[in-house]
Amino acid sequence: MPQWYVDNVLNIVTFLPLLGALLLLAVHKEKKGLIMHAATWIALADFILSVPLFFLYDAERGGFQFEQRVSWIPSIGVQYYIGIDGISLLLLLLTTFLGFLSILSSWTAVTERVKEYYIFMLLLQTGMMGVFISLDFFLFYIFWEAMLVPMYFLIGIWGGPRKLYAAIKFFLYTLLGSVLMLLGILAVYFYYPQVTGGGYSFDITEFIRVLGPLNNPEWLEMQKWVFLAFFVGFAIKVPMFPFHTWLPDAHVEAPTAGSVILAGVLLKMGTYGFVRFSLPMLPAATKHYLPHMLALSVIGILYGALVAMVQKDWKKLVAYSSVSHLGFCMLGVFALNQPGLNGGILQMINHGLSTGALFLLVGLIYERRHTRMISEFGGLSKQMPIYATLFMIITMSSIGLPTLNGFIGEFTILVGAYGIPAGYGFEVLGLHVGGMFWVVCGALGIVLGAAYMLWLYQRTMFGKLDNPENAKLKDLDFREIMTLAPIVVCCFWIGLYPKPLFRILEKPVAEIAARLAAGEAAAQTAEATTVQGRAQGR
Amino acid sequence: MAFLGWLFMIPLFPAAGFAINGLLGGRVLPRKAVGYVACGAVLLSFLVSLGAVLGLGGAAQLPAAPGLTVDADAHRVTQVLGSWMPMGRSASGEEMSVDWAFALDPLSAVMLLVVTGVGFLIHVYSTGYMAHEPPPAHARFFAYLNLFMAMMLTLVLGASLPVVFVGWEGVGLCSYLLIGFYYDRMFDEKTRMSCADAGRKAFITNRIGDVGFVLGMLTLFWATGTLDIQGILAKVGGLPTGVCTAAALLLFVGACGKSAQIPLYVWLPDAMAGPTPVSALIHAATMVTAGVYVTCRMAPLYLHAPGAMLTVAIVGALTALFAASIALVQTDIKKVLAYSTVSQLGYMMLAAGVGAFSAAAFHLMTHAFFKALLFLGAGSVIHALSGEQDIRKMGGLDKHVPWTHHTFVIATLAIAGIFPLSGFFSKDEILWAAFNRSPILWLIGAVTAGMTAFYMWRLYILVFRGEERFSEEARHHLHESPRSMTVPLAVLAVLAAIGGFVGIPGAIAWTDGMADRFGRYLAPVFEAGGAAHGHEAVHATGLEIGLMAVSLLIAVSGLLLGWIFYERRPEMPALLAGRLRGLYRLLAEKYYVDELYGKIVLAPYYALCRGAFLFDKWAVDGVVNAAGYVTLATSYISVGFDTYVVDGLVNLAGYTVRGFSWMFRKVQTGFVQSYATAMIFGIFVLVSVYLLSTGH
Amino acid sequence: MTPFDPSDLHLIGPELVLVLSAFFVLVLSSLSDRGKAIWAPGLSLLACGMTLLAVLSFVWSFGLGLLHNSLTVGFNGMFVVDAFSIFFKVVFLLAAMLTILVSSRYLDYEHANVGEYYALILFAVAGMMFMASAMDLVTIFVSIETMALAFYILVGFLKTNRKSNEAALKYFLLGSFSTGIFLYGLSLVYGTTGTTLLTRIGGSHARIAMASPDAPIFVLGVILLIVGLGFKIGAVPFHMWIPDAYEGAPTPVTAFLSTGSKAAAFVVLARLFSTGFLSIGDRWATLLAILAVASMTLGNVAAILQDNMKRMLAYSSIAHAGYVLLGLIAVGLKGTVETREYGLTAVLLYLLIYTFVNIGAFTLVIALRREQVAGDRVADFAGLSRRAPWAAFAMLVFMLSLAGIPATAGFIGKWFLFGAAIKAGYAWLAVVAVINSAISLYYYIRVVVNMYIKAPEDAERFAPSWGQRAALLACIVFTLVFGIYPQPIIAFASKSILSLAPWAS
Repeated sequence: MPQWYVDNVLNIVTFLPLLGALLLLAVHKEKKGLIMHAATWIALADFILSVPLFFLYDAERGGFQFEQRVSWIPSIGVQYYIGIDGISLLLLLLTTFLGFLSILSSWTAVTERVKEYYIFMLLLQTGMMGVFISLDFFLFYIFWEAMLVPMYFLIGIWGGPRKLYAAIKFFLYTLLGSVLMLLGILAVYFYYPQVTGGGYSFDITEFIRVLGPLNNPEWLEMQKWVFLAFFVGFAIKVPMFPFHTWLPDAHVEAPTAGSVILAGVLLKMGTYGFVRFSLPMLPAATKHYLPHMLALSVIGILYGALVAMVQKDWKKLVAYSSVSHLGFCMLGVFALNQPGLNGGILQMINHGLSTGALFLLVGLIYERRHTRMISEFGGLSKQMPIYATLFMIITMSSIGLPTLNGFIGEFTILVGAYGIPAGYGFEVLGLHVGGMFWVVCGALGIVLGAAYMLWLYQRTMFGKLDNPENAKLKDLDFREIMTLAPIVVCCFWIGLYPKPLFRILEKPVAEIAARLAAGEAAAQTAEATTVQGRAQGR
Repeated sequence: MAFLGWLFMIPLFPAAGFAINGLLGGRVLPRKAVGYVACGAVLLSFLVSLGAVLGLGGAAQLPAAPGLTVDADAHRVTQVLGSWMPMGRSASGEEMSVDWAFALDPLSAVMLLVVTGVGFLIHVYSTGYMAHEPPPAHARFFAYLNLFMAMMLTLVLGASLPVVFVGWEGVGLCSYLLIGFYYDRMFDEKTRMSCADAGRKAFITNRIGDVGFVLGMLTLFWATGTLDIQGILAKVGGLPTGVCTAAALLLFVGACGKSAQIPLYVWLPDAMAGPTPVSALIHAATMVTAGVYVTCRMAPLYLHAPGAMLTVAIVGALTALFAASIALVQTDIKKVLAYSTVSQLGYMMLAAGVGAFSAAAFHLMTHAFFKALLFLGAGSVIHALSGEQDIRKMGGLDKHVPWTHHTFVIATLAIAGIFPLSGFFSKDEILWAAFNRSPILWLIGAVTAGMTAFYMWRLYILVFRGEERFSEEARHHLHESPRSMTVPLAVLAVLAAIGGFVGIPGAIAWTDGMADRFGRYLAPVFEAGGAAHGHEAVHATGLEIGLMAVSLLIAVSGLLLGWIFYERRPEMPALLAGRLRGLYRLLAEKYYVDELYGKIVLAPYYALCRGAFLFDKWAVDGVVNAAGYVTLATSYISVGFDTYVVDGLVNLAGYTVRGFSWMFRKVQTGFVQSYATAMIFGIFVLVSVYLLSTGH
Repeated sequence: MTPFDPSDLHLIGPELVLVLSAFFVLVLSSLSDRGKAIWAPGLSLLACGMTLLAVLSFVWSFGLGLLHNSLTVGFNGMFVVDAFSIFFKVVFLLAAMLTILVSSRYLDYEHANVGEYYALILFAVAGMMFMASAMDLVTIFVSIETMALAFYILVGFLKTNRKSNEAALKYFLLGSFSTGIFLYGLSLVYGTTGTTLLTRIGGSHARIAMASPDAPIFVLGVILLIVGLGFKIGAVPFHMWIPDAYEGAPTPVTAFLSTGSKAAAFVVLARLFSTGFLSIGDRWATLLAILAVASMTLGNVAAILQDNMKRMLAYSSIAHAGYVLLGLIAVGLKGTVETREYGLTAVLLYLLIYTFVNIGAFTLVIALRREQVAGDRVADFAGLSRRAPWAAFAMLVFMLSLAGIPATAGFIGKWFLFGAAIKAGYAWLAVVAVINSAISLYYYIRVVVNMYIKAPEDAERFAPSWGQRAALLACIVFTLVFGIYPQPIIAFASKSILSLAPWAS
């Protein structure tokens, strides 16, 4: 590994797609083949360049690595400050990985306005990676919102019949969330100097270090508001019930690659936000709102699963299943203990892989039949055995069958959820519902998950091949298999030997858990002092 | 000895077979090769298991090889392959982690041999039975079968609960795939249930059980800080009874799912949708016994939870009786055997519940022999009659399929519990243990035994004796099955016949050496965990022999009754059915349990789903869209206001075809007024608000 | 009252240059035969350029002295050249130059490309520049009128176009109405404080007046001043004229009106309230808050339904006026010095950015004007991305910038304004503002949808004039470059306000 590469790896990986997009601008829009291949190679190169991170990251040391810090807008304390820890590392790799696959999957799917399409795809890549590497709030926010634009176009231009509605709904809904988050950021930004007495800064690590354990009552009160502001921003992205309704529309209308990226990476930005900002920076508020967060998570799990059961549109079913799976992630994250966080983060990756693959599979069928109505299908496994096999594997991964990735995530999450102290539950009929309650809800979600996925599989793959249309279907060709095979391999890898991932997550997660504990302690001391104050006042 | 180091290989052979047949079978590999690969893989793991088990005999002397830990007095060898899920530390700071680890001790040894041995025979049998399948399906079948073996062996060897769970879920998946093997066929015309439905039903029902299993695991994890089975069992002594009971019951929920106990047994009868060898291997001999196996594995836990023990015993007993009663009137040869399986599993649970874990394991083994034999025999019959399964359309087959006939008789007598066949010893041991717990349990067991004898003999007679009731073209291709099928039958017949001698009860053993070898072999497992044999505490040889005689008597009378009903007076059953029509319908319709579940579980569930979707569409999304509409409405209003107040007169004038100057006069007056009003209005608003705002 | 000191003249040097060249253009155009004024744009551009240099020469001559307004006051303290005024003069001149650049082709189509037009633009700019430097209520009034008169004519410049005439008439009547109100307020303030010099009012007189029994009259005066200026910035409920005037006026004039005159009005507001009436800041802040909420909400909501680009941008400009008020509110509150400076910086920054972005957006509307095609409907943008990808891209950037999407200058501006509100403790106001900016996206994105998703209505080539290309380039470069690296303009703005800070000295 040449040193210059190690020093700039994050910049290279993040901005290579942007560069590629600029290069594509130069190509004439009729040279579709060239554009297509160029984009694919760029994405592949980006993925390959990102892989070494996995080995270069020093899991023993933990913390943020590959940091770069350049003063950018000194007058308001903005820096170009990037770096990754284990959590962002995994999400970064997921992004490059799915980015490449989704671009590869678009070769036959996208036929008109090819140039713009691939340019937007590459821009989207840069935007999403930027979100994961930013350690400066300003920078983070720029990527966070700028990334909406290419996604809007992907849905709006290459989408289905109701694309305009879906696209604007996606854009407005998420934008509304992020602007409210912006206010939260501003509040923290203006409060920070009052604490340090120094100048303005957007340095996330500083915010966490200084404000996290701060036990000044004013701040503890303010935390709650900031938390809510962040919550709106992140919860809409995740999406958590009841902010999820943009998702089904967006997914159904988006082109396949769009859905893959949307489900695979975009949603993770919400969960990532919670893990990266809300928890360590606002521990007291996190504890304060914990019951609500947990409740929303499990509602999401069950609700998504129930609604998915009665969907007639294949893609919509998968979309609602995402709501359920993301509920799992949030449950794990808000367990606030190491197993929970580990599981939650792993489940982000797993969901990215398996749901990404599910959307790819739906896309493959849609390309062939131009319909997604489940009732149109049946008995496909006779006609397309390879497809059926891959679909089965992915189905199993998404319903959490052991030896596949889904199980690792869900099990770890449940272990964490079981550890939620009774104190943080709700009071139901006078008794505190603790870990057991949340776990039961989660586990119920697993059963329902199996119910709707197997029902889907049976209706599409099993039964008689009675629709003549389906008798003409071709099985997957080499390229199509290649878009799915890597995901399947990853599913098995994570399912059988997740240890490397756990190792990478170990230190960062431990740190977050520690910060939560510290923050709680701070809050309690503050509480105690105020109580004393009152006592002395009397 | 060296074989102990190969523990992890045992599941890998079938896994490899699965990979080969799955990837190459049907396209590259010829039909024969597929068969050889499948059988060969299982044979290999059988041999390795054999070696390992023999090596285990001297485990005490065995020096701890790398990655191999030996527990001499528990006779256990554990092989840790590496860390699987290091989930980080809990709040209290203890490392929560799970390893890939396999363990071999007498209990798993027994399972190991049963699974690989019977499994191998059934593989061989299948090569004959599935001979007529088209190549892809053929390869798919053997691939699944191998995958099943791999998972089952993982389940058996797993040293920590999650590893066991891997196998547990894996076999569930294979069962799902194999039940739905004929995914394009109808299984039950009456209820419009397809094979795929049956498979799904099995999977979901098991999943419900698995929730219990997972919760049990988590409870133990947070209580003991480990998921390694021995680690847990070492600590259960220190746990409060409440925790033990909770964990034990939760695990038992899982066991109910897998081992088809009330209330989760409903999937097993429908699992008969799968090819018959599958029913023999998965739904009779091996997978369905997993629940019993795990219960025995966690024996010390159960012993610390008396309440749970009692529950297990009662559920087991009721299941046994309940299923047996249904089996009395079934007319589908496989359905009869299915309910009989449920009933026998109930027996095993009963044994575990009363603390006779080794007895449970013993019956598990003998049952594997004779029930596998029965299914394979049934398969052979179905094969001979080219697919006929209704016993009312059979009869008089004894001369046509002699091998099948003879082996079937042995199996029937064995399950009926006739001395000295294997079923007698295992069943008797259970009954004896039950009696020591409570005579009522014994009574239930005894009655069940009687029923078992009756319906099995009924089955035998209707199939092999009496006049031939099958159709002409069925008679046309009527033939005895090929060697590949009859040889396994023969081998199993031998096992079913003599399998019981390893567990001769002390009471009738003429040398101490022979007495209860099986129990003594398993003793280290249960004694190490502090679990003593439930019934060795009490020793009243006389009573034991007396009960033995009674149970034997019951069995014989059951057979006799069957003979009278179906051979001497064939009109009697119809007569009786006429008399007790209500009861008959109740049994024939399986107590309407499926219908009941449909009403109280499925219907509400679907209703809930639809409700949730409507709620999503109209309420949740409704709010979002409403916000949009409100904004739009406001827009209309405000613009309308502007337009009306400001432009109204202008435009009005504009449309009139009057002169320019005229228009302007109009316009000026028009909007000076309107603007003036608007401005004044504005000022007044501001002034008032302002004066309000300056309260001081 | 010291007598007139000729040496003060150099302070108004730039203005003199501008006015003289305006007259020059006027004379020339009356000499040359009508309709052919190819030289006029160039000449007036030159004039603006020279003025700009003259303005900047102050920076060179006074240097840091500009940061302290006492040094460069003249005409008995009625006129000041300080960093604050220079900032705005630069903005006005740039706006004027851009306007001139984009005008000529449009006027050709309208058959109104005559020298007077440019002369009037220059007069208007002169008025604005005086507004920027005025330190006395009377001066302010006079300069406002100078600007307004020029605009009255400009708005109605298309004599044959009925819409244009209507617009001019409305603008004129409403303008005079508001002038009356402003004058009334002025007199009340003078009557109660006894002076028209902002420095004096700010120094002590305002406080004295508030203490005196006739405080209500003084207060009413302040309110009337707010109303008068509220009309100029187009704040609700004084916005009625905006949509019609903007739609009716020749598009380049609309562009100038929406940026230049708005900015000028804000200069006066800023100076008036941060210098003169600061002592009663917390009170007028409340009023401005109400105006802000009303303007933002009504502006955005009403814009949703507009199918005419100019009308839509008119309503959006109402909303933007609302945003800018947030900055002034932060000044008014008895906050820390820091808060006030932050608020003022936000105002300056936003006006600068808005000038470029908005003129850029209008430039495209202008460029779409062809023979027989007004080109000002949203639908006229249909399929632009395929007819002229770069133009479409530029419009996309402007729309996103107006909506405040990051990586564009507009985001920086909004960031500062919302920041000011938060810093001043006006969180609820900030919430209203951000929700509004989310709503605004809806109608801005409609243009984008037309350009990128709808199919083109005609394959007519899109060929803007060189002037328009230049202006477009300037605006797009500004929007993107300062969107990514705003440091220079932030520094410029944050330095410029220091002079306007008696609290700082």
